[in-house]
Amino acid sequence: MSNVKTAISVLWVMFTFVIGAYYFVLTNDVQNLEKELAQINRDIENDIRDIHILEADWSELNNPERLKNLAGKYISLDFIKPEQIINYSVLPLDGELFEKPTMLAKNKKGVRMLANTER
Amino acid sequence: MRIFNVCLVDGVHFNKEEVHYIKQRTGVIAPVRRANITDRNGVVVATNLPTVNLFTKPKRVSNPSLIAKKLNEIFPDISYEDFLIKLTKKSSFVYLRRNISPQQQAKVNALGFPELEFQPSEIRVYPQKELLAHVLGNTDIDNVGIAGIEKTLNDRLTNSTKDLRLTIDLGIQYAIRDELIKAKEEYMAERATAILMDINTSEVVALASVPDYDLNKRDFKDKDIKFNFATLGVYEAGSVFKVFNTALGLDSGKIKIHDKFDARFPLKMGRHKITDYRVPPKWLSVGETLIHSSNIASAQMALKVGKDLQIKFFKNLGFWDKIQNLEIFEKGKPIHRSEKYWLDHTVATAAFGYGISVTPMHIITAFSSILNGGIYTPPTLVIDHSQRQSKRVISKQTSLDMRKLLRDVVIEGSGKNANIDGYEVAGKTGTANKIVDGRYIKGKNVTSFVSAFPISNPKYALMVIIDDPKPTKKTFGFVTSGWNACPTGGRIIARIAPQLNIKPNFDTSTQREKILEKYGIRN
Repeated sequence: MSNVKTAISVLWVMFTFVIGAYYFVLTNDVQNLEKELAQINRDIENDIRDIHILEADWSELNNPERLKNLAGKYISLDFIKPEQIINYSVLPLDGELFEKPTMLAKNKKGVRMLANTER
Repeated sequence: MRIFNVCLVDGVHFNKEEVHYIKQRTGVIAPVRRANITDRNGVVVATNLPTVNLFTKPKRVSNPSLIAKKLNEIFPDISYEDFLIKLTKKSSFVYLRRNISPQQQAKVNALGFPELEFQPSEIRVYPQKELLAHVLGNTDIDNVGIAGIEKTLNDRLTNSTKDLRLTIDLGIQYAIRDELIKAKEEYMAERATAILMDINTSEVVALASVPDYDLNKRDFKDKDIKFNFATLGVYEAGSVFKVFNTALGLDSGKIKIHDKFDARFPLKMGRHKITDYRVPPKWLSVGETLIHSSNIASAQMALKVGKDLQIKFFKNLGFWDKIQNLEIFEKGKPIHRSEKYWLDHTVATAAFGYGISVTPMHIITAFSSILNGGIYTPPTLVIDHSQRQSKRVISKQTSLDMRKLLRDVVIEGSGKNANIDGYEVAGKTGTANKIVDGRYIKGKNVTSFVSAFPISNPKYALMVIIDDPKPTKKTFGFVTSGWNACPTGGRIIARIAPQLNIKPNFDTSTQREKILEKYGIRN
């Protein structure tokens, strides 16, 4: 009988030890994960703040006045005028370009511009 | 040690900062506490940036004069005396300087005073500076909205971190503001204002009023530059009202499009006489009334329609109350007589825009409804605004008739200077005496031009207002709308229409001839 009691006691001790060990491992893991989570959250916050700074910077770089000045300085682009937007059917046909050879010769530059630029 | 710590110490302890992160994770607190505002294409126009506040607990300060001296060297805009007062204050907490830069923070740190502490903070910045000044408004030092959209939508901006998308197009806004600055300078005006509206949805695509101010400077002293004339400026619009008067007449059925009105003699209304300015004294048709902008004929139309219908129509167009639902705080309340005192002479003068004062936003919204097929939709500055209810104010046929009539005003009448080839502009000019301190001032005017384009299938409505333009050589000494607001409107349309992807409607055969001639293929 006393052997049974001893065995039960030993089992209880072992069970308590296993539970305690399991509790320790679990709590340890949870704490590590919480710390990791806090770090991730901190990183996310830093990233969000960085994104805000970059967005503000990007917006300032895209200021229409700045873009207009840069376009004027480097690529000589100006506003589109309504008459620059034309329908394809308005352009002369190839045949028309050659219907007056003498005139074409006279206005070679104009025809070349038309052929190269507007098409 | 670890076993002891984990097993016997009660649970997991988080410091304040960690609790903050956990709250963030659960959505209780956002890392940035005020949402961005973007234009309709997603370009950020208002955002929050992290900064630091410098503070101290005065009771702990051991050497206030030395600290004040050192801080004054870093922040020369705050005097030594001011710092000293703060440092010796009998309180437990005091801000020494808010929103300091990282460089300034490093310098303060280098001083090595443990009494000086830092607190993370945020500052609202507006990367586009003055471009959207009157739309966005501003926030105070605690990031609480105090004007414009920032004030009206303060709860939305603080309760959600999702970007707030405006209907404003930054490129168009810039173009319009640029033209307004030029116009203000050219006509030596006090102020120039413009609104561009999507005629079918009443979305405000651009809203600018110059002079304006850089939102980042937070200079709240000059109230004049803060004044948003587009939504707050209540004024008598003058002949622009003839659009509404004519639409009402035609829609009521009491006026037919071919009816004629006697404009040979001034119209007597009690002690007063209604006269015309440079209008041929003859019988005028409805179209001619608009083309020549006749006050006499317009008044006769209004009298024929009557008081009740006029008031009902003005109410329908929103002229009786503040603009509903518009997400901007500064909204002007129309000024008009009460129904009881809306007598015959008021009916007559209201026909040409006197005796009732509304804001430009009222006018352009009503104008849009007249030309878009007859549907009034309250204006909005925010994409996906769901609480707006549209209503019919005139029939589709009346709307189509008005398109033709107003196109003629630009082809033959006072709107000629806005007749931009290809864009089929239709509109109406208006010039009204300016009221200062309740009295009309002779020689001072507010000129308006309200237009829509392309009128064959209207997409946008534009309103330009020039406050007190001066005569110039170029305008041959005239100060009426046709010489300032109207050409400004024309220049704006010519510049923004290609940006808005509106294809010009040219007569292709004429254009073809021009091209062939230009390049020497035709004689």
